[in-house]
Parts: sequence; structure tokens; C-alpha cells
Amino acid sequence: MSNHPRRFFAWLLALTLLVPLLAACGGAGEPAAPAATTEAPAAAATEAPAAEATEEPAAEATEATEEPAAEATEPAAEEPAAGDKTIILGYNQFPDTLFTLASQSSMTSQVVQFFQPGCVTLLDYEFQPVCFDELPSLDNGGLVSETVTINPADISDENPVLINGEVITSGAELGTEPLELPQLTARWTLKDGIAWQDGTPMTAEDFAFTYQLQTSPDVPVATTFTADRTVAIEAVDEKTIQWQGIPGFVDPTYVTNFVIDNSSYNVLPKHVFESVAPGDMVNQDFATLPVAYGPFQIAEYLPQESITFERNPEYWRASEGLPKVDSVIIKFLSDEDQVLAQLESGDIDIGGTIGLTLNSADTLDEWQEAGTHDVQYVPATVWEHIDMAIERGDGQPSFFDDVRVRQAMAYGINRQQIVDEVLGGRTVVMNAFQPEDYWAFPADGELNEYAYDPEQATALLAEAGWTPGADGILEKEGRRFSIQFFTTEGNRTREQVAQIIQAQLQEIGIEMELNFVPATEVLFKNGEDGILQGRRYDMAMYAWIAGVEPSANLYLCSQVPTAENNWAGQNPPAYCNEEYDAVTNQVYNLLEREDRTPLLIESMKIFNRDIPTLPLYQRVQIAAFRTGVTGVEINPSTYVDFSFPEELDITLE
Amino acid sequence: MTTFLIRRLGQMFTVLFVSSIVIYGILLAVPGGPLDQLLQVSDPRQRPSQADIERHKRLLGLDKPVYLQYVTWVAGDDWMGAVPFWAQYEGDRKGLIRGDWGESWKVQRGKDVLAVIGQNLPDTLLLMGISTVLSLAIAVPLGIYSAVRQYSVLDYAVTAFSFFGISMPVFWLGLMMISVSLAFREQGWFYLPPGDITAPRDYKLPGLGTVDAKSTFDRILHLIMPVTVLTLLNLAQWSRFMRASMLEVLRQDFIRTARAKGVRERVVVLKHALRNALIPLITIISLTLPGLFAGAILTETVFNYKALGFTYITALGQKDWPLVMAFLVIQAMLIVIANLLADLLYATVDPRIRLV
Repeated sequence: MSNHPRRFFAWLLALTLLVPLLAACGGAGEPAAPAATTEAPAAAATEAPAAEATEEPAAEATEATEEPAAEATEPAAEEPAAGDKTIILGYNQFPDTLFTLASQSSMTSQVVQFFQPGCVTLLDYEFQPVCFDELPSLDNGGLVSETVTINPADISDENPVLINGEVITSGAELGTEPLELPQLTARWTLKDGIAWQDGTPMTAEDFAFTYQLQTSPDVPVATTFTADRTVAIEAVDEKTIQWQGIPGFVDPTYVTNFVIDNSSYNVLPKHVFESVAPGDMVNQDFATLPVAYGPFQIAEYLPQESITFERNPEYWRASEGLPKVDSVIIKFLSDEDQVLAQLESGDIDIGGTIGLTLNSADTLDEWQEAGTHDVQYVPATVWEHIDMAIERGDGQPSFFDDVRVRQAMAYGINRQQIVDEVLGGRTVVMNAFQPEDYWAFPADGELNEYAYDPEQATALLAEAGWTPGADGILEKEGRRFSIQFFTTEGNRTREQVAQIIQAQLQEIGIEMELNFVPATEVLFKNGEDGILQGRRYDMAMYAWIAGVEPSANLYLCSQVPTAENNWAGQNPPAYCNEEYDAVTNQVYNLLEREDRTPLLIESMKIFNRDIPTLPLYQRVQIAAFRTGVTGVEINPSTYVDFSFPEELDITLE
Repeated sequence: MTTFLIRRLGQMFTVLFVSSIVIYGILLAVPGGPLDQLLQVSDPRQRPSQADIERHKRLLGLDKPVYLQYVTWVAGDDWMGAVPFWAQYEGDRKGLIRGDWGESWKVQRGKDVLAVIGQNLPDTLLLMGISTVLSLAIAVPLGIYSAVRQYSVLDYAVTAFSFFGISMPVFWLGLMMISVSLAFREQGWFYLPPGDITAPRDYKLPGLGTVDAKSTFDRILHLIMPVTVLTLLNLAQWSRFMRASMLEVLRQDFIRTARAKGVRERVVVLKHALRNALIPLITIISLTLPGLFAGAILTETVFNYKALGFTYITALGQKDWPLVMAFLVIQAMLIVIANLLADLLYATVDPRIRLV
């Protein structure tokens, strides 16, 4: 027995040391994660010439509509140079899934754009067709608005209608009089030559199928807003897609309804997915390695690490020599420091907008001066603002129920100084809920710019009854002007801005206590005890995302969070003005830009006068890329950095 | 021995059961949840309605009462149809006792959490294994040497180095290495890639020529910096450990006796002293076992080495509870196993310790 324990000990010790080592070496053998590589499903290279012939007319039409991105690059005429041109992008997030209907990550759209590009682009706050020759409108007959007569007794779950923004599924409370409601029908015609990477042509059936998936109860789509307001998306013929809304749904963004509630605007292949139960889709191989129809197809996907794309021979513009590079690799990096370090070392060629912030601006500017990199700073759709609680939800008296006090805040806070000092002057001050380059914006001089004017602020406050007390802080009827300011914790920019505002308001006699709180758990918490939703604040700074559609609806009376609407609603200042509601509601009931523009301008003017919230500035999107890279043009209103990934190119020294 | 093992196994299961409840309870107490992010949307078209939220909860299994959520996690819900009052909660989950650990909510939506962990495991074991073995291989001789030659120049040097290593924040050391490496690059000297597990594209290094992407050599180049950081950290602590333990043994009577008998110094140190000083070392080695699996959160983040440490911290941040829970349960298992292993080893190294 005396020998036995020793051997046992030696064996165990060796095991403890060796097992991890062996396991580790085993890992070394097969590089990285065992994620399968795509087998390009029988890419029929011989079919390509046939497709080319029919593509000519379609290609011309695309070029005409794609001007914004094409500017930056040379015309894509010649064949790409032989060799292996690879371009590497770096972001500091990774997609949660490539199955777009289930994704909740903004990285998914960025990545999917390379192999299943959105069928529309959103450049310059407009929609442009990608998979279609043109977008439907009343003028070209693609959109039809009919008035239908509905008998309230016929309204049911299967036949809902939309009245005053509410989906109604029962006519019980609507009386017996027939209702006259507008009903929209829109049609899109698919461009010739679009095919999936396995050679199967894309048809209208794919769109109808994507709609069926979208409305399946087992697919975890984020919302069913448009689905609830849609009768169906159907294939009229092989190339024609038709969407029909429920009676009463006048949708100003009808042009995107070829797919609904899908922020990537991409389509899924029926022939690949149809045999699978919708509930099983998310975790299937073909959902993690989807079939392409865009310029690239997936060669390798290492979740959380990187995705490698190679040229898709079936791409409908392949005959034009597109895409310009042979492969694109998107790397998902751990943090901004890595994005910077890898840009510097040349491990990545482009640092995308999800990853670079103004914290890196000084370094990036140095590189730009040295000529190694180019940098783009684009004031984009995310806008910071300060909500002022006009009526608090917890019954406390408000400081901002008087419009003069809110205007005084606008005069007393030097927003230009904030932009200059905190944001390096790289963005612009806003005076309405939309940026100045939006499709509707008041003419110069029509908006009050509220240039910094502390005397004007003091005068307005005095008019409203606020006069300096013994310690210099304003008082009114024995109440001190001492307010609670909230914003999210851990955001350096916001903390700096808050401190500047605190100092500036101190100068006009307002005492402000800063509260930096957790975002989702406190500031944006739902329900009565949330800071914003429960209206338990005096001032709160956070951001909204503007889009192609205006944000005017944020300030409607119906959006005020109250006990009646279960503290939902997006109007935490509790601004409620009949004049504003009357104008703004019309904006959302009209289809054509020319009708909507004057009304929207009117609602911006009312907003600017009443200042329910003080707009600060547009956040900046930053992209940096090494000299020699072309085709990068960050656009303020797009949801992806590269609306035209096929235009990306690189020339190395 | 057998009774000991049986009793210990029983204890292990109890510990694991209790820790699974604690893990579940703690995550339940975290404010917010996986649907928070969905609600931060201003566009009414993309903001989920109450009905949407109910649908998401049902798909995630969060519509059940809390105690049933725990039961589902552990034992599944495919049998619930047979139980009165629970029939409505029947689903297709099998529960972790039958190998179904659930699907990731966020990090890799819809993917089996064990698959997510498995996919990152080889890289984790490689990084942690190499740095652990390296640390031990250097720390043990270094500790022995500085104990035997106490107050020598080398002992002082090792001590000073240890304090440096212990007090150095990992992320700072990592960032410094990266910037020094990039400064070398600027000079046109040899440098190391600042991050990643392997490079996706061939690259040139001064003095080495072109390095093939994803080759073994590429992998080694990418491992140098993170392994160095981790090794320095462990090395500093473990050599102190070894030194203290050796010093204590070397002062004991039987060592003096051995020396007095005329046993060679080498044998005294390596046979008589070392074996008796091994107990703390065993503790260290056993407790590295869960560490091998856990990865190194900061080092992985600084060097963009996406292994389990990074996955875990991301899952925590995104409130991907199934992934976090799987991670913690596996971690708890490994700790329990490592402890048992340590006890067995103690008994073999030191005959005075009996397993009863």
C-alpha cells in the first residue's frame, strides 16, 4: 500500500497539469470556434453570362437613383484587378443573430447589408429603391388610396380597422352607421436579374413568404406595429409585390411596406426556409449563415469575432465589375481602444460608426494631418435634448409650467459653448425636433435660435415672477428655484454637458442638483416609478433617434404618460397644446411630402416657440479609414454605414 | 476512502443545488430584464406594444410564475401538461438535468448556451492553460530559490518584482504593452499584433516577413502579449506563495536533522522540504481549474481575445440570463470538483491527512 498512494498522487498531479494543456493544444489544432463555413450552395458560375444580358436596362435605372454614394467613387466600369483585394472593417459590437426578423442588435443591419442589402436605402432622409426600379407613389400609380365603406358589424379580429390611431377589432361601440375609411394598396415591381446566391431567382413569393414569417407567433419579431395594420403582403405575379393596409391606416412610409417591422429592409428566401417551422428558425444553420442576394456572400462566420464575405457571382450588378473588392472582413472588436489600436496597426482598414466616439477625435485628427487616415464626422439623427417637466406625475409643483421659464432656460444655457467645448465644434446646435438638413425645415430666420443671452433669461424669469432671494437663488412666493437634473450615468459627454449647464444656470440664479442614474433601471424605467415615464424630474437629458419620418408625434397630448395609458407614451415633459395637436395630427394623416411639409414646418415653429423640450445638438457619427480606401460616405439618415458596400475599394501603396 | 467519496459526492450535489437556487435568485433580483432594450425606441412603429411584450415574455418563458421558471430551468416543462394547474405552461424544454441548458437570449440569440460556451472554450483553455503552466513552471523554482537563498540579491529582486506584478492593474499593463508595441511599429521595428485570436488577413512583420493568417505562428504571435500579462500577474502571487511555504518548512527540525545527517542540500530542498511545502501549491493548482474555464475578463477585453471571459461579461451586460446561469453553474461544478481533487491530493502528499 505504501507505493500505491505515491503513484496515485503522481498520476493525479500529472492529470491536473496535463488535461488543461492537452485541451488547450487540441484547441490550437482547429483555429478558433467550430462554426461551420458556408458551402456556397452550388453557385452556378456558368449561369452568370445569361443573367448579364437581361440586366442592362435595370442597371441603368439603379445608377440614376444611387447618385449620393456614387459620387465618392469612380465609375465601376473595368473588371477588378486580378489578385486578392481584401478590406477589413472594425466595429466594437457584434450582431446577436443574422436572422434579421429576430435581431435586436443594430450591428445586424450593418452586417446584413453586405449580403442581403436593404431593398430601399435611406439616404438624406429620403427613400431610394434598390431592388425595384421605382418606388410606388400616387403619381406613378403604384399607390392607390380608395375609400371603402365598412359596416361596423363586420369589424372583427380578422377584419380590423384603424380609427384615431387605434386598431379596432370590434364594431360594438361604433354604432350602426357604415364607416367611410381610406384604404391603401401599394405595389412594387422587382428589378430583373436579382437572384439568390444559389442561382434561384428572387420573386415576389419571397416577399410574401417574409411577411408570413413576420406574422408567425413563434418568430420573435420586436414589434407587430405594421403587421397589425396590414391586411396582407402578396405576390400578384412573379415580379409584383402588393401590400394592403387595413381600412383607416394612412401610412406615410408605405414605400417600405414590401417588408414590415424589419429595420434591415431585407428579404428572406422562401425556397430555403419554407420547410422549417418558424419557431425553429432562429437557431438553424441557414439562419446563422444566410443565403445572399447582395454583392457579397458569407464565406465564414465566427460569432462574436468576425465575418468574412467573398464576392457573390450571382449579384445582379456583377457584370458591372461589382463589388470592387474580392472580400470584406468585418471584425467585432472588444472596445474603442482596440478599434484605435487596430486602425493604427493596419489590422483594420475602416473603423465604423459603431465603435468610434469623440473621445478618439484628437487621435484621429492627428492621423488625418499625418496623411495616414481619413476621418468623417457627420452630425446624424440621434439628438440630445433636455426635457423640462411641465406637469409632474408625482403631484409635485412644476417649475416649467410657464412658457417664459422654459424660454429663459433656452436663453440661459449656452448651447454653442457646449458644442464647442465638449464636442470640439464637430456638430451643430438644434432648434427643432428635426435637423436642419431634414426634408421639411423652416426657412432661415423663421425659428428663434435662442442665442445665449443671460440678461434676456433673467428678464423672462422676472416676468414670470422669479426674483433673486437673499443668497442670489431665485425665489417665487417663498419657493426656491432649486431643480433636480437627471441623465444617464457613465456617459462622459453627458456628464460634462450637465456640469456646464449647472454652472450656467447658477449664473442666472438657478440651483441645480445633478443626478447621474442607471439608464434602463431608473431613468427610462417603465411605469409610474420611472423617472421619465412617471414624470418624476424637473430636467432630464437624453436622446431621441430621428428618422426619415418626423418626430413631431412625440409631443402630442396623447403621448403624455399617465395612469390611464399605463404610464406608456413618449411625451415625458407632458406638453399638451391643442394648436400643436391639430397641426401635427394632420402631418401623420397625409401621404405626400408636398402636403406634409408646410404642416410639419408649422408644428416645428410651435415647438420652437413653446420649447417643451430644449434641443441641444445632433450626435456625431464618426468613421475613420486608412488612406487608399474609397467608397466610404457616412450619411446622416441611414441605419447602416455602407448603403452601397459594392462600392468599397482599397488601393494599397 | 469509499465512504469519504460517497459523502463528498452527496455534499457536492447539495452545494450545487443550493448554488443553483442562489444563482437563480440573484439574477432574478437584478432590476430590469432582457426586454429593456426593446423599449428604448422613439419611433412608434418600432416600439413594442404591451401585447408585443407579452409575446416576448411567453417566447422567453417569462410568463410563468417565478418558482415554475426555476423548475423549468432545472427540470424542463415538457412534462407539465400532466400536472394539474400547470398544464398551460407545458413547453418543449428539458431542463439542465436532462442536458437542456436553454437558449441564449441576447449574445447569440436562439443558440444553445452550451454551444455558445463550447465554441469559445478551446480559445479560453489555450490562453489560460499556457499562462497557468508557464506561471507554475517559473513561479515554483523562483519561490524555492528565493526561500533557500533568503535575503540574497535575487530574492530581493523577486520580491520587488512580485509587488510590481501584484499591484499592476491588468488593463493598464495590457494597454501599455499595446502602445509600446505600436511605438515599435512606428519606428519600423518588430512589433506584436495589438489584438485578436488570429489575424483574418496575411500581414507583414519587420524581420519576419509575411505571416500567414490563421497559421500556428500567427496564433502564437497573438498569444504572446495576453499570456505575458496573465503570467506576470500569476507569477508574482504564486512565487510569493511558494517562498513563504518553503521558508516555513525549511525552518523545521526535520530539515535540520536531515542536514545534520549529511544529506546533500539538493536532496534536502527538493525531497524533504519541497514535498512538505506542496500543500499550498496543490491548493493553487486545484483552484486554477475553474479559472481555466472562466477565462480572464480584462485581459481578453484589452487584447480583443474573444474567449469565455468576454462572453460572460457581455452576457451579464446584456442580461442574457440563460448564458450567465449556465456559466455560473459550470463554474460552481468545477469549484466543487476542484475542491474534492485538492482534498484527495492533500491526503496523498501528506500521510498525516486522512480522508474519513
